[in-house]
Formats: sequence, C-alpha cells, structure tokens
Amino acid sequence: MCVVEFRIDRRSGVATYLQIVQQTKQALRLGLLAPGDKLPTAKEVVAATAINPNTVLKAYRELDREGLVEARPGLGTFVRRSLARPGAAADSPLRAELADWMDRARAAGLDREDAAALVMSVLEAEFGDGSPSPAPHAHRTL
Amino acid sequence: MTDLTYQPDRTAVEAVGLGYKHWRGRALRDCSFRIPSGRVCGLVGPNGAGKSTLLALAAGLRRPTEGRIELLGHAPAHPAVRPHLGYLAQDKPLYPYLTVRETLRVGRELNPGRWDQGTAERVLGKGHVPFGRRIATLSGGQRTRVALALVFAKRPEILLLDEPMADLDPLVRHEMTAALMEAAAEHSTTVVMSSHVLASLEGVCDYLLLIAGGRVRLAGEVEDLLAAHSLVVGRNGAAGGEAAAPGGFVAGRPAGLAPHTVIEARTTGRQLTALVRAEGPVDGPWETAEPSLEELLLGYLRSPGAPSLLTPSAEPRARKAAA
Amino acid sequence: MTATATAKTGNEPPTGAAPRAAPDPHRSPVGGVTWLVLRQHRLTLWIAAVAFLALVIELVWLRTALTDYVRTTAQHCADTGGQTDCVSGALEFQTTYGDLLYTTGQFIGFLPLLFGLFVAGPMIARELESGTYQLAWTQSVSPMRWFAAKLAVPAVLAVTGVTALSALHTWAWWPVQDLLPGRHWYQGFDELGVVPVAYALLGVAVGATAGLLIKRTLVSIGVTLVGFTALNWAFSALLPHLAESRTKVGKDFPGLGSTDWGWRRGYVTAGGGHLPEETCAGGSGAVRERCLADHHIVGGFRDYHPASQFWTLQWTQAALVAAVAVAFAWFAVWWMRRGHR
Repeated sequence: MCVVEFRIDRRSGVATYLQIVQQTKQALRLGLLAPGDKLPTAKEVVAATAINPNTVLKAYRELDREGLVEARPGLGTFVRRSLARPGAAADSPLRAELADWMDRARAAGLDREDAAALVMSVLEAEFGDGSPSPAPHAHRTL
Repeated sequence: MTDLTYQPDRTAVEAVGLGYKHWRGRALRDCSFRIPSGRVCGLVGPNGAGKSTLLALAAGLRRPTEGRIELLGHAPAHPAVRPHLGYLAQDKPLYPYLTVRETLRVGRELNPGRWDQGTAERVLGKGHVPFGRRIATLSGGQRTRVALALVFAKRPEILLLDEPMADLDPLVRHEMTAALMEAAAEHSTTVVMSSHVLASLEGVCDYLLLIAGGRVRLAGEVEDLLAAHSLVVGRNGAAGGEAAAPGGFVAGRPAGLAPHTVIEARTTGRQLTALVRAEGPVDGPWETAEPSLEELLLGYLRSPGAPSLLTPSAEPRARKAAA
Repeated sequence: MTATATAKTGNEPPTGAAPRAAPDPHRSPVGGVTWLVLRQHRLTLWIAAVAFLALVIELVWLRTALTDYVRTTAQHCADTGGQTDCVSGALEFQTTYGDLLYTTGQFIGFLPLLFGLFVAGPMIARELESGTYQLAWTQSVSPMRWFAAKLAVPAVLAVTGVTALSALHTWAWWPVQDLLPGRHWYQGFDELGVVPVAYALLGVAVGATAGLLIKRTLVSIGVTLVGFTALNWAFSALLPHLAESRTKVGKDFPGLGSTDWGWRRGYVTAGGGHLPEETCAGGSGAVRERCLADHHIVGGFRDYHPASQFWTLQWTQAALVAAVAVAFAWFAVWWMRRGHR
C-alpha cells in the first residue's frame, strides 16, 4: 500500500488545498500513486498536518472533478487514472540522463545556483511559465 | 468520504444584539453573528476585546445583559444543549488534588452516557501523561492535555476553546491542533477557538470572527473575506487629487480609490498602501493583491472606525427573519 | 456545493453522534455530582468521620461513667451519712467529668459554625475563586444540580452528625444536669436537644450564601463567622421571649429554685409597674436609696422559666432557627438560578 505524505508550506502563498492537489498530481506523475490506490482519508491527513479537514476534502473534490480520483461513499477516495508517463517515473532513463548531465555540470565548475538557473531557463523556453509548487514529499512504503 | 464537514443550513452559534456589561465596563456591545455547523472558527481580537466573555456567554457561564445568544437553536443553559457543548477556559481549570485518572472519572460521572474513555486515553496516551499523578504535579503542557482530553471525550457537537494553545510548546501545539482537526473530520464538530497568535490560525480555521472594542468587525468564511478585500499599493496622490501627508495613517479616503471602501491606508514616503474592500475591479495605477489573513486582521484592528463586514452566512437568521 | 446532511433550518439538537454508553464496571453506588463533591472533600470527610467516632465513644463512656459515679456516691453518702465525703466527691466529680462534659458540649456548640465555614470557603468560594467551577458547570449536569449537591451533601451530613452527637450529649448530661455548676439546662442550651441540629442547617445555609455571593475564600469565611455569630447572638437574646414566662415578686429580688432560669429581674413600683434593673443600677448606699425612693420602688421581680419549659423552648427555638436557615437557602438557590453571574 502506498502512503502519500503531504507537506504543507503555509508561507508559500499558495492555497493549502492547491498544494495538496499539486502534490497528488506530482505523485501520480512520478508513478508513486497508481490507479486503484487509496488516498489517505481526510482524518489521516489532518492528523499529520493539523490543517482543516475541509481543505483536504476540497482538494479531493478538485481531483475528482478533473477525473483523476474517484470518491466511493463509505470506502474512501481512490485513484482513477495515472498521470505517469513512462518517461517521467523515478527510475526512467530520462532521469538517469539528467543525473549524468548534473555530474558533467558540476565537473565543469558550475555550482547549485548556476545549474538551477540553466535548467530553469531551458524549462521556460520549452514549456513556458507555470505555477510554482513546493517540492512534494512522497515515498513508497509497504 | 468526500462530504464536507460543514452544514451551511444548520446553525451552531447565533447571536443577536449580544451585549455584556460588568462592573469594569462594557465588554461586548451589540454583537450579531452566526457560525454555521461544522466550521472551525477562529475568534480573534486584541486583549480585552471581549473574546473570553463571548465564549463564556456561549458556554452558559454568564447571562447576557443585552440581546441573546443561542447554540443549536436554544439558550446555552438549556438541558438539550448542555450535553453537546464542550468548553475549555483560558486557565484550563482542573481540580489540583485529583489524579489524572480521577479527573477523567469526573468527566465520566458528570457526562453520563456521553463519555468516551477511549478518546480521553488516546489523547493522553500520546503525551505519556501518567495516570496516577496528581494534577498539581503535572507540567503546564500535560495539564493542557488533560483538560483537552476532558473536553474531547465528551464528544460534543460544539467545542468552545479559549486560547487553548497559548502556553504550549510547538510540538504539543501541533499535536493538539491535529487532534482537534481529527475530531472535526470525524464528527463534524464545530470548533470556536480564540487566539491572538494569528499564525496558528492559518490553515486551521475556515471561518473567522473578529472582535475588537467589544464589537464584531468581521465574520464569515476566511476565503470569502479575503476575496472581498484587496491590498492596494501605489504612488501617493497618483490618480490625481490631493496627496496624503507622508508618514503615518491617512484619514478619510485617498484620492483614486473612491468607489471602494478603504479600510485602512498608510503612507511611507511616496508610497501608499491601502487595505480596500473592493466594489468591483480596482482601476487606476494601483498594484493589487489578495491580502493574507494577518494583513486583513491587522488592517481592521488598526482602523477602529472602519465599517464591519459579515458574509451572508454569518448574518444571524433570526434577525433576517424578523426584518 | 453544499453537503447532503440533514439540512433543516429548524436546528434540532443532534440525536446521534453520542457514543454508546458502555456498562461501566467502575461505577460505584454513588455517582454523578455527589461523587464529585465527596471525592473533592475526601480528606475533610475522613477527619470528620474520625472525630465523630471519637466523640461518640467519648460520650457513651461519659454517660456510663457519670451514672456509675452518681450511683456509687449517692450510695456512699447514704451509707456514711457524712457531708465531707460527699462534698469532696463533688469536687472530684467536677474536675474529672464535669470539665470533660463541658468541653465536649462547647465543641458540639461550635460544630454548626465549623460546618458553615467549611461550606463557605473550601466548598463553594474556593471553586468560584479558582475557576474550577468552569469545569463543573460545562459538563452535562446543570450548575443548579452542582449547587444542590454542594448544599445537600453537607446539610445531610451535618444534620445526621449533629443529631447523633447532640442526642448523645443530652443523654450523657441528663442525669447530672443539676449536680454540676454551670451546667443547668439554660446554660448549655445551644448544645443540647434539637437546637444544635437547627443551627447546623443555619451554618450550612449561611455559609453557602456567603460563598456564593462573595466568591473569595477567605472573605467568605470571615463573613460567615461574623454573620453566624451575630445571628446566634440575636437568637439567644430572643430565646426567653419564645414561651410564656413566669414572674415572682418579693420585697427584694426574690430567690428562685436552682433549676429555674431567671432571665430578667427588675424593680416593682408602688403602683405595681415593673421597672428594669438599670433604673437604679450602680452607685451604692445613699445614692441607690434615693433612686429607689424617687421611683417609688417597693420591691423586686424576677422573670423566669422553670425547667419544665425546656423542651417547649427547645422546639420553638429550633423551629425559628431552621426557618431562617431555609430562608437563606432559598435566597441562595434563587441567586444561583438568577444567572450564575
């Protein structure tokens, strides 16, 4: 069973429920959540993060609206479809290539900020402006 | 379950013209508001604003000198309401010479048929509060846990908490807030908690009640209140008209913001910052942003004369019906 | 989007959501608020129980010892016919048993006040002052029930305890009442019969009222002390008027039997009127003679109650004190109901 832990950054200026939506989508993209997996109940999320349960429920409704999850009354909320693309999984070759590139950048004398700036500029050139989101903290446990 | 915990048509707390006067003066005057069921409401305001008095009135510990307050449709002292109400006073009173176990027994004896010993033990167990110790020998944090355990285990429908997290260290505060949110998630408990640490309310409260000077200044859903206001930044005197004097607060309406209600405006050098209640889009050479909860509250607190705002669900139904 | 819960604007209190009341294995026969009151003041209860037991044992022993002594001494006096032995016997009697009886009686007389002070301070005012009342009043029992328990528990315990002790004291005292100086029926009146029981009720009622209105532990104890003492003094002053009094007239202040309670004396004028004693008090010799002559005083009178009036006065006084106690209790309940501040 996969447990997704949400990390809420209250100072980020992003609405809490949006953070949950984005982190869920991130987890779906990375393949950490697969169709059929059960999302943590509002009670579980709230017990860990101490946020208002309606925030969690609102996030789940939003995901439901987008067709990513499905609420089954009495049973919980389950993942309906995956956003994972083969290339984006945590163990994909694309990731390995990126790690390779990072090694080369570091060897070339770039520090963290330089590398990040380089990546961001190419990202924006390719994909355009996107809304920011804090890093998710999802892990797979058995 | 994806049903939201709040029920907008069911009223948890409603006050009409509520006032309270004691020998030191008038603590509350003409307060009217409504809190729908299932909401987590933050009761904020400066010291001495009347928050504790309001909670004491809601708990039935005092009788209002003017107006009335009702919980679940009845007076707080009504026998149908009392079992569904949980109240925690600011100083978290406990009987000092009773042990923790006996204190829980007090809860069991005084709440026949409603007591959930499991919940009480769960709230205490996490904090490793020894059951055989007397209350007087416990630390402040442990005492708060016991007091909260007493209130939770009654499984009330409405929880009234007067500065519950005030003396707690961050870890205990997080745990207690989480426990509170769990209760809200599981039982759709209505929570009214007062605090003057605004940061602790963010993300926790979805409803707000701002009391200042004994009056209700803001009431309603947090997101609606925030959406109704704009933080406006621009050049002093930018849209023509008189420039306000540099430095300090500005009385009246700065030019260029005319159709909107200015709650509070300040100038720093040539820059004018204003908290504004927008009636439609804000035109002109202004930069607008949605204020944070703290900015909203501070703006209202700094301007005692600003008109108060209640969202539609925060208007007392009784008064509307009578009107 | 609204939730689908019971959306009625009528706002009925919830019927569900209460946890099932599991049968409580720990439940003692005394539950609810009564349990709380007893547990809160457990230490005092134990002390009082021990003291009560000690007094009961002492009084039973005292009665036995007194009657034995009287029997053997009377026998002895009759046999020997000598005055000296009986007199010295009487002295020993006084110092051994008389003082003990006297002290015990005094203590019993104080018990109502002690009850009152305890109810005022530790039972009521301290809860209001320390804020623990906020805990007691926001459970599922109403504050009125809490107050009722705070009144009823000490009242019941005081009445039963003082009834038992007063009965035993009266029983121990009865056979020797005229053999001990200063222990006539009218001298320990508040420690005998039914009067202490009525005072116990008064103590609890006054204490509860003081604690409730004043809300400060030490002040309410002080006020109860002053108030109860004042009431006690007032009732004592009223006592002789509660039954038909008899009068003896004579040349000088007439003498009375040893068991008669002479509660007032004064002068008789030539016209038959009565003048109070203060008319010609003070002064000596010639001054007094002239005062007497001026007022045409021809003799003296004494108002008294014979011993046969003991129980009449007892029941009347007790009824009066109890009525005032009920009035205080009524007021306290009314105050409480009026609005818990």
